[in-house]
Amino acid sequence: MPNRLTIPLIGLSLVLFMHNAVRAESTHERVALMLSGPDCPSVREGVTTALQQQTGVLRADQDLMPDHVLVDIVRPQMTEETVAAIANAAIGGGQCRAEIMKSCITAELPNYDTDPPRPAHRQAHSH
Amino acid sequence: MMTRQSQRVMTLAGATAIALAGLLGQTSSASAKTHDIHMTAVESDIVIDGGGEKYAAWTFNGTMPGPVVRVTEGDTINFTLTNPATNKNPHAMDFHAAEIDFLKNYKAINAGETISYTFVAKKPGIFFYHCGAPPMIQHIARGMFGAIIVDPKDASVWPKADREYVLVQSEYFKNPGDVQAMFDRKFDGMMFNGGIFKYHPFVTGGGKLDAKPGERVRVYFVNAGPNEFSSFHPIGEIWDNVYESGNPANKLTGVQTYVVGPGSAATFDVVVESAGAYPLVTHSLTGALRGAIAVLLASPDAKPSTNLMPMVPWELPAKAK
Repeated sequence: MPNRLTIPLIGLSLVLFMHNAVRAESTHERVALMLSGPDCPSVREGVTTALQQQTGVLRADQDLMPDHVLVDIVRPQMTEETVAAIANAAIGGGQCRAEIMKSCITAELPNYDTDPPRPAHRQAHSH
Repeated sequence: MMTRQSQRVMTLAGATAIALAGLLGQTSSASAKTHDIHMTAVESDIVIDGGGEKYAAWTFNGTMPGPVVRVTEGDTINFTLTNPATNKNPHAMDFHAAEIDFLKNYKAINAGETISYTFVAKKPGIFFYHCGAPPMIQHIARGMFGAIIVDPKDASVWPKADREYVLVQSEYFKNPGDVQAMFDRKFDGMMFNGGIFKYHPFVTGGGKLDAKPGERVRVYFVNAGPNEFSSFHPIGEIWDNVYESGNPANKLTGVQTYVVGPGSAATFDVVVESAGAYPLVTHSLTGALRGAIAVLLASPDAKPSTNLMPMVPWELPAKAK
């Protein structure tokens, strides 16, 4: 009977559509958190545990790189700014600070627009 | 003035020296080994990044790069390539370490066929091997490449390495069927040992290469291409020595960056003086920032590494949540 099947089919389609939409939007990313300061060795374990308990955190690793906690996150449930905030909250007031590690080997591609072309008169050199 | 006694001693010493020299010569040729190397062309999916992205690769023995072949100068290699009947494409094998007729030995064989040939590895070094079936640009881009190390017969011709790695650079094209993109050099990523950021710990799924401070790390580097040049540089270090084509006779000292063209290779020695991270990159940044970064991590408690190509194949841990 078409009428009896229509509503469940529409419902199923809606669920599948929403599931796929959520999947399509979420991306995995590794955040490199650098811990600097004399108190860091004593708080690193606590930082790792605090991060592992968060929704949107797949894994937090304190062994792969010295002085770092590497955090695998799912966007948009988690962001790198939130990771840093959670880490610094877990550290408390000691002499240790968690920062997002950025360097010349940072792999992310820029998401800002390219510079617009400059007007010709600005490019001209004056002698 | 020489006495009869001393003349006899000299004669005996001379005869002994000649006999020893002969014996050493015999030992040298007798110590040359014969290796039976069998590879199979495997058309299968390979994980190429830390997110688990799969690539429809063509490979030797199912990995990209194919297995490292390691022999000693003067050794004989009996090579056999099998192209299983289940494959869809012709394949071939070209060893840059060989000096043999191309027509007879490097011809493409169809699925269901086998080809065998023999060569002597006469010159020491690090050499590229690859499939030469047409279109060769596609067969290399899809993963049919690897490295053969020919160790020098006399190991004392260069410093002993404390740790060794093989790195093979190659381009990644998202659409493995788009041969035109390959001709147009429109690569989407740059790989070391068949992975984008495979040895970059700050990238999802990425690992590292280990060393201890003070160790001489020897990197056998091959540029598989198919098109782009590599400008190989250790960030935070200077290559102590670079050996063009990996031949100890071709020695450079104190090199910051060394260019390795497609189809070429070189051996790089670095002695990392202190603990820390030393990324090995192609300083052609369009390649580095699209995947060709390998972090060498020097730590006093680094474990010994027995694998020349760690993380090949790239097996990712199961997702925790």
